[in-house]
Amino acid sequence: MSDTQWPRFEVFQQDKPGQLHYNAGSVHAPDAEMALLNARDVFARRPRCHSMWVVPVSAISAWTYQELVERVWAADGSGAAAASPQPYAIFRKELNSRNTLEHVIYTGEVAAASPEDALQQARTAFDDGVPVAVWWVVPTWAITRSDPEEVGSFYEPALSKQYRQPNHYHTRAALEHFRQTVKEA
Amino acid sequence: MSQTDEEKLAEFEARIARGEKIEPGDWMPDEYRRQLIRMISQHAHSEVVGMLPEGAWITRAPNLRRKMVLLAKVQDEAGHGQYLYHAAETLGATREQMLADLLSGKAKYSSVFNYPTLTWADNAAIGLLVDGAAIKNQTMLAHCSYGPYSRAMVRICIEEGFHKKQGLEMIIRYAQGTPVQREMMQDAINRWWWPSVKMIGPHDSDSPNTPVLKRWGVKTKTNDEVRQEFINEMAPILLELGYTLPDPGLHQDENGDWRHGPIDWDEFWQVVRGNGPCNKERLAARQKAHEDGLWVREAVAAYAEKRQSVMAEG
Amino acid sequence: MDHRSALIVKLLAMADDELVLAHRNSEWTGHAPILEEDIAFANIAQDELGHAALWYEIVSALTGDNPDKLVFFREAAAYRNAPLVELPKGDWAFSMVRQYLFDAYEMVALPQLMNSTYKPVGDAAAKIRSEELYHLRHTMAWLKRLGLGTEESRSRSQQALNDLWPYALQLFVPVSDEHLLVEAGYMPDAAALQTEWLALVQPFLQECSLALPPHELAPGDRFHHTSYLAELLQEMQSVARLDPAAIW
Repeated sequence: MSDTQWPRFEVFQQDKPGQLHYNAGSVHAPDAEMALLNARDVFARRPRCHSMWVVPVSAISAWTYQELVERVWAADGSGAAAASPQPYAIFRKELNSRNTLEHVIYTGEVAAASPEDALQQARTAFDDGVPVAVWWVVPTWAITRSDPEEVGSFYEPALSKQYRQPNHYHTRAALEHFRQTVKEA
Repeated sequence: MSQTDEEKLAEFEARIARGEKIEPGDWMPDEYRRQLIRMISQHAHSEVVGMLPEGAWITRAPNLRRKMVLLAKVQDEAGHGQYLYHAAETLGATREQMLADLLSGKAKYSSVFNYPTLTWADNAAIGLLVDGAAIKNQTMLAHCSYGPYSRAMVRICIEEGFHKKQGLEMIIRYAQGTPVQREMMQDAINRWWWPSVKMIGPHDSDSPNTPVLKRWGVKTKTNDEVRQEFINEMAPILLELGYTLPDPGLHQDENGDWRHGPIDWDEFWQVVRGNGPCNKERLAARQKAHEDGLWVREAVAAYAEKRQSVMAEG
Repeated sequence: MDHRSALIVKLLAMADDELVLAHRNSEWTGHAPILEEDIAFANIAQDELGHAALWYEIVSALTGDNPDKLVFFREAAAYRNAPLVELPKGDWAFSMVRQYLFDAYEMVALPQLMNSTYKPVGDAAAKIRSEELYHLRHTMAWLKRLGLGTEESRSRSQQALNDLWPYALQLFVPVSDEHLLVEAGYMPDAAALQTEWLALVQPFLQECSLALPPHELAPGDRFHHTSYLAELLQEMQSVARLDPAAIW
């Protein structure tokens, strides 16, 4: 780790309880604890967050649509069947997604022997006929999650900073008022 | 199985034509990657250097609300720099290299940040004019074909909404304010008008990258088109508020477009080449922060390494 | 002195602490050791400005002076902040150690302020506390890294702690007639707060490999400032005072 090239962590954000975590972007941090704090300061400056996960990029296996089309799969599941299965979180982005802000979205978990195995399982388990542009596979041990008990201190302070919202500035009304004054003068 | 480069290029262009986003990992022409790294890293540097002109006024903001707003705005700029460095990294650039290029003076950033902020009203002018011009460009780039850049731009556009409006709010208020305020505001507009008009970039005839960037869906408008939108929005409102603009050639044509007079591009290129009023000062400020922070970054890295070896042993 | 005047002095002390510390912290914006901290520390400064505004509002309700007038048209001699917060920002260790000592002070004070029998104080404290939890978490993360990072970071942090400790202790010196407020249940007892604060910070500083300096009070107090405050205010108030009739 050089002094300006800290490891990159992908940030997954949940806007409201019950909604799915989606990839909002990434942060640099020397470790997972700082990554979570940085993620909060970078992505939750505005009131639109309930929970965050951070994952070091090195723990993410990613495949794009194009790679999957071109790839020839080993018949024996990459020889990983010997390893004992562990839980993987699956994220995906639909090919025709019109969502302009969110990248991959959390889809669910599978137990698998390797990331490749997890991907193969996910392609079957979560196949709803929608073409997928990007798959991300993450072993769940690599996810650092914000503490549900800290929702108040992590995310609610943004609510008091109304001046970050454009509608805090009544420029249209101010302009109208200006015109009125000019007319009267 | 393997396609030729021409086939790949054809498929790539077809995807862009269908409105699909290109994502990290997808095949892309080297030139697409190179142009994007150039644009995104310049954009990131602009956000980071862009903290300095306004940042100097946080401690002097004239009331508590303005102080909080300005602090939030400059903080956003750091956040935007951060989003953009990450977008560039998905293309294979490293933050380390980008930062080194900025600090050595090799990398470019928007020329507009090389002008001094002389009075409080400069913050209002920057909010409306500089951010206004930037938003025009960013709104276009939010439709860009490269997924990570487009998503960063969408987020930035949402967040910048208030940057421009807090500037406009001051400009309206000072138009009806005390003589001191009106004079200060007019002076700031005089100084920031041209730099804002120029920051949108050279005329189409002098921007060789535009055609390929348009074909690949990176840009959807030319510099002159964006500049026209900008002037059409800004000129009438500033004139209505009773301010004057420092362009004797400015007029509205038969189509309703506000046309600008000749632009002094020599001055623009001087600033781009490092001879603007504040180039040295801006770079020196970034270098100092970087050097003063070295021991801090080393400490944090050392702690992370110690923790890792403790975890490995335990 | 009556309850009302004692309360005004105490509230000004609390508000001025937040304001002046926010000013010093905001000086890092654009100049932090790494971009992530430009963002994080500016966030903390914003929170503190918000807290200052909450306390000023309560003063304002008592005196009729609006918060901006209190901030921009009061001379240094009338400021009631502890000298701790007016000291120049120093290096990153100095700013982080100061922030930690102050955050820990707020962390012990706020739960008690939430129980204040003076309702506006209790309400404001409740709002402030959730943000303070985060500040403390942030500064604790930093102190651990600075104290346990490299030899240089440890020695810089130790130096900062040595310099700041005598000033931090002043946070617990009662203002004039504060006992009236304690008796009325408006404010917590400062000596009890100090005990609680020491119990919080001592083991943590040790964990960060930082030694506790001797228990000595710095010169000056909330009524006698260093020359740094006058300089700070001259800058802070410069635009507002260009034209006192203007609304900005």
